[in-house]
Amino acid sequence: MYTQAQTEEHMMIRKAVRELASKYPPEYWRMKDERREYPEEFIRELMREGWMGVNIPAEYGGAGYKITEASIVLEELSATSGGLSASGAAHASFFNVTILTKYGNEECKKYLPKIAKGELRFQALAITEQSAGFDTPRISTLAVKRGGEYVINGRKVFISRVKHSDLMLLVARTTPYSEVKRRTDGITLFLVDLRKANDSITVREIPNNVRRMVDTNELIIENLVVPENHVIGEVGKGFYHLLEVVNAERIEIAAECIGLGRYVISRAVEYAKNRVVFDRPIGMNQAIAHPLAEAYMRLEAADLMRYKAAHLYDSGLPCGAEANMAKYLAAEACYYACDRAVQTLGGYGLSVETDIERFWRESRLYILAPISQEMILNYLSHNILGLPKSY
Amino acid sequence: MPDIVVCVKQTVDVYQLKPHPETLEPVFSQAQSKISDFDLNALEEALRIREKGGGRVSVVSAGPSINQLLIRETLAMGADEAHIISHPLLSTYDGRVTATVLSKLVEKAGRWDLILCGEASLDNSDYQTGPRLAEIFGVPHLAYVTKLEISDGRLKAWKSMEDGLHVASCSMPAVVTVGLEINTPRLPSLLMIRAATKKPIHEYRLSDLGLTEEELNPSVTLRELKALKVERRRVKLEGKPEELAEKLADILVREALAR
Repeated sequence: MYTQAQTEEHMMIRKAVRELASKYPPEYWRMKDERREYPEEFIRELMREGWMGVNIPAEYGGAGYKITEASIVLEELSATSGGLSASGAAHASFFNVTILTKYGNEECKKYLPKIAKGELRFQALAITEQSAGFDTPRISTLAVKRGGEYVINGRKVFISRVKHSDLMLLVARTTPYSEVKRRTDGITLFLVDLRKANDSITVREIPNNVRRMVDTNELIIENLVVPENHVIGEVGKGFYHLLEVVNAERIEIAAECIGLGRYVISRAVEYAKNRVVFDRPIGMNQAIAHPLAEAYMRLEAADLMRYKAAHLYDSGLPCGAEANMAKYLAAEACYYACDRAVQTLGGYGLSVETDIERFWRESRLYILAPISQEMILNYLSHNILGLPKSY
Repeated sequence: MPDIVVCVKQTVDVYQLKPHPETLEPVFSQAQSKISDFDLNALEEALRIREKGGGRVSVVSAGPSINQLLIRETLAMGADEAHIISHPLLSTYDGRVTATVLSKLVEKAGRWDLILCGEASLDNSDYQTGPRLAEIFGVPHLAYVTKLEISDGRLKAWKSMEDGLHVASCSMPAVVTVGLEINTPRLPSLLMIRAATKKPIHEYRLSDLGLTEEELNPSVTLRELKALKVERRRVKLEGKPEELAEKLADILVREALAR
């Protein structure tokens, strides 16, 4: 049975991450947000201290923990003034390495020790395309075998952290959609060394006002050559391998949302206790107190699902429903908590100096990404409840 | 390769303590426990010495209820092992009792060349543990050390004193007490946290240390603990800025003389 009980290791991990993150004050994050700059110094310190190796096996130089612990690291990162940008600048490596560890050949696994040591970044995952969106089997980026290598052409959109990564997990078709029997067949995963991509990948940033520190990009891929030994897993079976990455991703993002949600509530509660209007603390008003209590309750409930999903994932058991539900519940709870925090702080909640407006902006992202709430409901309706497929 | 024992004390985090609004007694339930700040500096110094010259770093800790997690954190910083005792009578304010119990734990840690302690604890600030341990073991004691070197089996210590810098030297074994200035304690890295779970924490009963409860009876007891009540005067000065400055200066001089 899964448990939410924290081990000594978990508590030490939490404290160590908190202390590391505390070196980066709110001013640092405000400045990065205003300048739309990646938190390079912060990420470098995380890398230098070995945190990117949290769920890399010990034989490859990592700490050998699992998704539960990776999610704890991310939860603590987001429970700081860095919010979801602090965790979002770092999180892709944690889910990307899961698939590299499980399906990578020895050639691909050679990268793992360097990722664990913080010498290489594996922060990019390229799935979505303009014509496919959440319908991943519809991707059209095509990899064609030529001797001992693949030549890849296509376009990807909304690919984060490409400008700050050395490696990228690229999802491409090795058999066109029109030629496969099952629509989920014919997809293959490639490990792309971005340092060697040269002009084969053109990166165009897609600016947004939600998460301004972390770049999101369009990629134009033209005649990108990837060695055959950089295929991760089985050729044509990449979609099924990918499901494991996205489950890890959902669990980690759920943890990030829970971390920020709790942090924001603590900020709002502190304010509500001290802000006096009409001769009493505003927290004495149920219109302020009840929504915060409700936000807290929603986060606690989401956290149970997050730990259940993490437990199943770490045990090698199916967890698609739980991972999706955890992401759904945590994203809703976090957004609600941030929204109520804005309401509690009033005008100050929208002032840059309190950071609450940034948290509120950033929390909106996970209602939409990496998969929309609507697609999760579709998945549950069809795959879990057995209702007719609606799409 | 000096073997080093570091004394660490688990204290309440006094920075989180707030006085009860009426009784002025500190509300301990609102504050978490932590390792006393100076003791982390002592541990950091021990780890740096080991990194340069090898040896073993043991941690010893005695208190009413030692939280193993905090001890595990010292192992995650890099200590090799820990020796601890929890006993209700160790909630004492008596430096003699503390040093007596710690000396027994030091003996359990085995051979040692150097004992490192924080100058004082975060909560009591009695400055007694280091000197008393030196007395018990009959070894030299260097206090207020801000820089420490070991060469040819001797310690060389830089001590920042009010009248200037003292540089002192002594043979080992010895006891050295340090403050915040000597270093910045490291944060445990992920791999060290992982490694710490396999390091031993030896927990003892009083009888294991050859001690009786009578020996823990304090000769000093705490009678009362209260925050100082400070009230603002709420004096409002009015007038032109230059006149105000003069009035303010007068008040400050008068207050200073009154003290």
